[in-house]
Amino acid sequence: MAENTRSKHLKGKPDWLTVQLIAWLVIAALIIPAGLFLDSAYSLNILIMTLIFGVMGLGWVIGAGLTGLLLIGYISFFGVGAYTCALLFTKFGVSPWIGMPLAGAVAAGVAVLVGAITLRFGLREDYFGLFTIAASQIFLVLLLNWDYAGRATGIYITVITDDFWAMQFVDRRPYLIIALGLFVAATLVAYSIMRGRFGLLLAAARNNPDSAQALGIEVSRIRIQALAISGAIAGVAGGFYAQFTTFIDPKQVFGLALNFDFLLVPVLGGRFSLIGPIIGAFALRPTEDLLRAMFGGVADAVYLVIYGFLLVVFILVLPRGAAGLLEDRYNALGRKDDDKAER
Amino acid sequence: MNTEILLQAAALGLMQGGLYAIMAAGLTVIYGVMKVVNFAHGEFITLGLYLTLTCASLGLGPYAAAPIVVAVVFIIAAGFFRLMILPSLNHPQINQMLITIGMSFMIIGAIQIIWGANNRVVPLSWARDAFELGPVRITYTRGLAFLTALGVAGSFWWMLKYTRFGIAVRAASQDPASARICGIDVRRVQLVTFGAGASLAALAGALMAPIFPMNPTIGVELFLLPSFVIVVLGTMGNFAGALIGGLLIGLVEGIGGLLLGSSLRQLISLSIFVIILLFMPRGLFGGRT
Repeated sequence: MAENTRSKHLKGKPDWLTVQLIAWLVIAALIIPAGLFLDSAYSLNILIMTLIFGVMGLGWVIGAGLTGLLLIGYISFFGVGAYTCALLFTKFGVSPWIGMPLAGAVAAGVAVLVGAITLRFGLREDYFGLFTIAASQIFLVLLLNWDYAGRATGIYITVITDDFWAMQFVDRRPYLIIALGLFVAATLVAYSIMRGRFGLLLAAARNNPDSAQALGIEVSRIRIQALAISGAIAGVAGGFYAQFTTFIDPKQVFGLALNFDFLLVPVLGGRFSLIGPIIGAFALRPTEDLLRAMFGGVADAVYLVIYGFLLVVFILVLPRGAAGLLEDRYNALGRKDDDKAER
Repeated sequence: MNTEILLQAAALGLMQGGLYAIMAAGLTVIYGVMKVVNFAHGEFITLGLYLTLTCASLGLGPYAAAPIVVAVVFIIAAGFFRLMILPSLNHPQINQMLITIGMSFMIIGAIQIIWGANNRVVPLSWARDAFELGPVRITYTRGLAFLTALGVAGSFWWMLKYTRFGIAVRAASQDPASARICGIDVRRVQLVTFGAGASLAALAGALMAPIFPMNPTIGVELFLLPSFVIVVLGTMGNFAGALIGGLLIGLVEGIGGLLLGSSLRQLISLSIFVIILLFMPRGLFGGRT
């Protein structure tokens, strides 16, 4: 935080947050032509999944990075969103264009519930984390036993023809545009939180909850609000995921495997940063798919070993994520210029 | 519902509880000493299962193999600790968790490479033989697993309580800084604890080898979550608490599985988990370590 305020005062040099926003917009702008030139559905799918992971990463940065809460059962929000949207569509014929915001609202409700229960009972750190994991597993078991939602078989959405209202496209490119829209929206939400008063309140509560409380900040309240925003983002992403993959089952959208994949994105990219999740997503998703393709099939296992090893090494080398390193470099750059100017 | 079936289910649950007890005891000592929530714990159980399989193919029975399996897993776990956990101990907790998840990926992958992804069983000619205890019928393998688990857990507890090293472990878990000032080599204690915790998981795996068909993800799918539930139930970091919690959860799952059907069985321990977290987050034995 101190570094941030310092660099703000330097003349002619935008602060780190602005730089991150510009980098985001450049990346987003580059994706459109990239998507148009990608012919194969396979590469297009990877790109779209990368964007979903980026959105999920941003949601986690808001709910966990900025609040300092150990939100390890993050996937609950995603799974609830996916099921809400898919059930509304297959059972009631509700268009995903309406289903996705509803999925976000339901997931935000779950997030508020989780936040209210845990913070009301004073669960902190490990205990908060274990509670969120337990919650995701409870959703898993409930959905595995819920006939209406198809139990372990899950829900299939059949794509027959192009139908804009039903968000069904035989050509995958429109999905890229929608994913990009979600991605830009999530970025703007995260940016405005980080830039604004809410972000400062969260940072104060994260760095020292007791002093923040003493200063009149309602710590629990703002944390629940942040969780709700995080849940809403994850819920919308989940709804889109269901529509995009056309198939969800409980073990997938509430499973630990996908859950940890989601957490790795912001942790590797940078927990408190705007740019972190997209660095993480672009570093992880294609790598995972590439390794899968290289060692696919029977040798899937080789991929697991390499992936696990790379994860451990990167987390050890960059404990604050790639964005932490970039931020230090960027601020150091300013300091050198500053010194020169003084001389 | 007749009493005999209920007793049978309770007995089976209790037997399984003995195995749960040592898995969870391993997890809880690791947490107690280094505050690391080890998501790779299930994989040490799986490693125990598969190493027992290899010993069996070399002609060594599962029970003779157990000491070797435990020693091998101790060395592997100590290596992981030295290379991956120790450098991250000052990092944020989420990093350590994700590092243990990376470890878990690596171990699952390695197991698939070495032993393949199919279900495997350790052959044992008397795997189905059983003895009767009043109305209850228990296979020898389950009974043996239960007794061994209790014996090992008891001796671990005794070591923690009375040996010099055990006292060093407890000191390091209560206050690492002061323990260091008193001349305790905290890093060594942590290394041995991590190895020993993983070995307890591996022992559970070895004892289960003749009972459960194994696959590379069995540890994370079947045993990781119950272990967490038990650790929280018995107070995080409390060894004796984990043992009692293990037996309790085994018993409850056994009876609950009978009453609710096996697909909802998980919900029982999850509900216990949530209730304990909310109403007594310090567990049944809160306050004492």
